[in-house]
Amino acid sequence: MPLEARLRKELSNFQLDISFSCPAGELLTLAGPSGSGKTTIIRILAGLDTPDSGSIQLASRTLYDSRKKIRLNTQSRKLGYVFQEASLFPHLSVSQNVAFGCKTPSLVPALLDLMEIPQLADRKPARISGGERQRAALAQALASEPELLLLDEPFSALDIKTRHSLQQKILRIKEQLNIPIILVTHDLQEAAVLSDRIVAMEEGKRSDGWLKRFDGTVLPVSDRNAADHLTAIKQLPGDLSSTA
Amino acid sequence: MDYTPLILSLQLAGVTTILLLLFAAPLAYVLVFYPMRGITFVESLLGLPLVLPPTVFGFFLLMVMGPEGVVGRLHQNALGSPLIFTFGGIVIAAMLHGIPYAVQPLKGTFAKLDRRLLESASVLGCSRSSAFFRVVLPNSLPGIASAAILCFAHTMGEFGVILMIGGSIPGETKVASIAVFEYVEAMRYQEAWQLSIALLLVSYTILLAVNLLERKNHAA
Repeated sequence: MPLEARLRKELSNFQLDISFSCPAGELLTLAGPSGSGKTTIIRILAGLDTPDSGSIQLASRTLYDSRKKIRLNTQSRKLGYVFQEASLFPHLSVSQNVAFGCKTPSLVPALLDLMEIPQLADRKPARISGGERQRAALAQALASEPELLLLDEPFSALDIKTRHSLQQKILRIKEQLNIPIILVTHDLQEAAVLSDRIVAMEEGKRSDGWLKRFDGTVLPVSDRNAADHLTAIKQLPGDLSSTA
Repeated sequence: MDYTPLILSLQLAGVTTILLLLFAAPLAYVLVFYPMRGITFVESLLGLPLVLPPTVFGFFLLMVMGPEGVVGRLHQNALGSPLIFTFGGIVIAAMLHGIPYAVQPLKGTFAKLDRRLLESASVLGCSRSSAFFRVVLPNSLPGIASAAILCFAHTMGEFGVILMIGGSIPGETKVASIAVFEYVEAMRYQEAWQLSIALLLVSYTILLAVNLLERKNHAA
């Protein structure tokens, strides 16, 4: 169930022009500085924004094709989407939130267990911490049994301990689910820990320049040699996001 | 003292408020979240009751709902009775005149909602109509209550439009505001006083409820 995307969109400051693919069972990271178009890409994949042209193919399903004039609406795309700040429904409890898009009710307690939040099932989102909200948001995204999981800087507002714990969850989920996962982040360390592939980007296009700034070396960034650049990034010290 | 006009006013305000909210809530939802081309023209049209004198608004309605009007003729042909000078007629008139009093506060309430909630609902497979019932309405209850109270209060004070469409038929269209007007015209000041004080108390209670609700909203 691979994802193939080729997107072009005129933004206010630059043109987004990028193509990438992500096989099922792999996690691809879109990495780049703020304002480089990462979130726009993930919103386009979700159908929340529309590109000017291009195509998005998820396995045999065409989510978008400008030439064939196909545009599947968001609710038909079968996605899981975790926003930067968890957007849980404030009027529902955690378990009701997880069950919101779920067609298999037995999944709800299992996902609460997986995220280690069964004790929060009856609490409203306003009464739990940021990290707990992101766990619940991840459970909610998985409960809809998505064919594509989109993670938009889901850990950026969390402390290091919570972030690492959730990163481990993502790695487990990646192993268990055979679907493509797209992560947006400006944190190279996080990208290195989680990704099978990294697409570094700047001003809407693939760019090695952003990576180069961290240690003066151009890291090989392409789909073809993902393993090499991951190894290279993993050797970099500390949390690189703090130097950005 | 005959309190029938006051009871009729309460009935009119109650029915009008319920029907108006059923109509105005989805309309405000579309206006806020899915504005279409030409929306400004529609919004300006909906706001007309705020600027037109009620008698003028009532005159236009009379021309449409009267025996020679399109709607009046359709009603006469379908049900065999005229639409004007009936309780149903004044409900329709009060509804049309009250649209901005329902739509504006509802629009304000919906506009304050975090749009990511709707995006999240959409990602989770929710259609637009389903998101309206499952996300928008439950998260807008205080605002909906405020809109309901405002509609109720506005209809309680309705005069010009009701007079044009309903006239003054006791027990059918003679609401409290019209009864007070007639008492004063007939120089029956004691009855005018009593009914006016009753209206004043009802109106004050309603405004007090609105203000308490708004304070609660701000505190939340």
